[in-house]
Amino acid sequence: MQLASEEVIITLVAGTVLLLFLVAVVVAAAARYQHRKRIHLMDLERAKHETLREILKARLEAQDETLDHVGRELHDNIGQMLSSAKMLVAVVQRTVPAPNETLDVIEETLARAIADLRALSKSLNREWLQKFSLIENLTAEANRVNATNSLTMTLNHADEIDLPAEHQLVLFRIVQESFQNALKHAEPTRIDIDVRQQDGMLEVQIKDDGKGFDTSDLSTQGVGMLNIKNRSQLLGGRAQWTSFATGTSVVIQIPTQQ
Amino acid sequence: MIAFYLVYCSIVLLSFVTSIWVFKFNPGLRAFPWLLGLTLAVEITAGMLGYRYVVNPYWLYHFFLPLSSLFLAYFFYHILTGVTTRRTVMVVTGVYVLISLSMTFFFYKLTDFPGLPLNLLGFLLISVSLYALLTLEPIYNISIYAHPVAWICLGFIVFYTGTFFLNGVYNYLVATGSGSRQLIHSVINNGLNCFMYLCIVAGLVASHRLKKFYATEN
Repeated sequence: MQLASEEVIITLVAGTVLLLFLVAVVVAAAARYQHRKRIHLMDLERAKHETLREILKARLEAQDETLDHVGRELHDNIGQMLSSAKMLVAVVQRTVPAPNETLDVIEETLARAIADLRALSKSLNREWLQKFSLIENLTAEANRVNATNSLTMTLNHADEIDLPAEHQLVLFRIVQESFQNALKHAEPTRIDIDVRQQDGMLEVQIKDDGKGFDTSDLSTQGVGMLNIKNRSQLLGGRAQWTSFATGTSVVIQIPTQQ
Repeated sequence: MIAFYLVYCSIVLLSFVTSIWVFKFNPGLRAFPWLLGLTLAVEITAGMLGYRYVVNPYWLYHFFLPLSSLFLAYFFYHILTGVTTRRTVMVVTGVYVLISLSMTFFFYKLTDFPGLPLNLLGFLLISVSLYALLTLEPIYNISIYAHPVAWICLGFIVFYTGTFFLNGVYNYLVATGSGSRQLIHSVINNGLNCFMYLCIVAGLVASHRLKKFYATEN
């Protein structure tokens, strides 16, 4: 009987210990599962962002390729045709005994068109742009736009830009897209570009004095604005629009430390 | 006692039927229709032999245990990851089958209850179920309560732990000449069995609920 009682006590103690151990293991398993689930979700999120980023990068590269192609076609085909026309005008001027003043005007117009076309072609050509910094490219672009006498473009900039060359090129495309947008939709007479660097952030503001738009209306947000947002996101930054009846300002903020 | 037996058989039948129609998110769950079908056949036969014909049914369990261990090994082989782990499951199962059959033919009589093989199987199942629980991989965003493997492993752990504990208590009841020892043993044993098969049903239903994730994947 005593033996049986001892056996019961041992069984009860062992059973309780075993039960507590199992409860502890089940709780540990649940906690460990939660932890793994969190890591799994973070990995999924990271993979999703990476995939979206790659898709975006591929799309933007395709756009750059198209711009490159257009730039080359402008230079090789249309540029050549304009140069040929200018040469023919020069031949006529030499051969005709009393050349008309109109021929001089034609020659000047053609020369300007060729120069403008070259400048435009260069602004679309990636290989050409990569030789220069953001500020140099923006300066060239401002000079090109000002030469058309259709509006005034000013550029204020910081002395140095701490951004890798590849990112400076992407930023240049963003600014190019921004004022192309302004030219297309806002009908401005003036565009001011301001480039500042402070506290690890590079800020580019493009302000125009055009007619403005409703920033809350999604239907006004076309492909141009989407491209600007996408390219800004690719650089780890963002783009923000403010618009009134008297003009629109777009501010692009990019971190300089990637 | 017959009432407990009938309730128990009903739950096994429910788990068998469930195992046939549910979506199996993992190939390992394909073992359950076979395992539960075999269990149902063995339990019904044992019940008929024991209650109706008053014939010792224990010889059934001598063969049921090694067979069921093969199906369980198939399940855990597919659930667990890692080449070494899977290989261990296969080797241990093979060794267990050999030991169990050796005990049947050389140690026990067919009319004896195969207590040692059952306890050994219990020990192995508790170990592998604990390992599976601790290395459970998340499926999509589901919580552990919705994870099929968690329910199935919980069922195995609770049943076999309870069985070990119950066997110890049973000896005391025998020693004290307790008249109700059979009833107590039957209630607790059937209760634990019912809990295990209900956990298996819960696991199978949880597997079916994962169908929507795999449907969108395909």
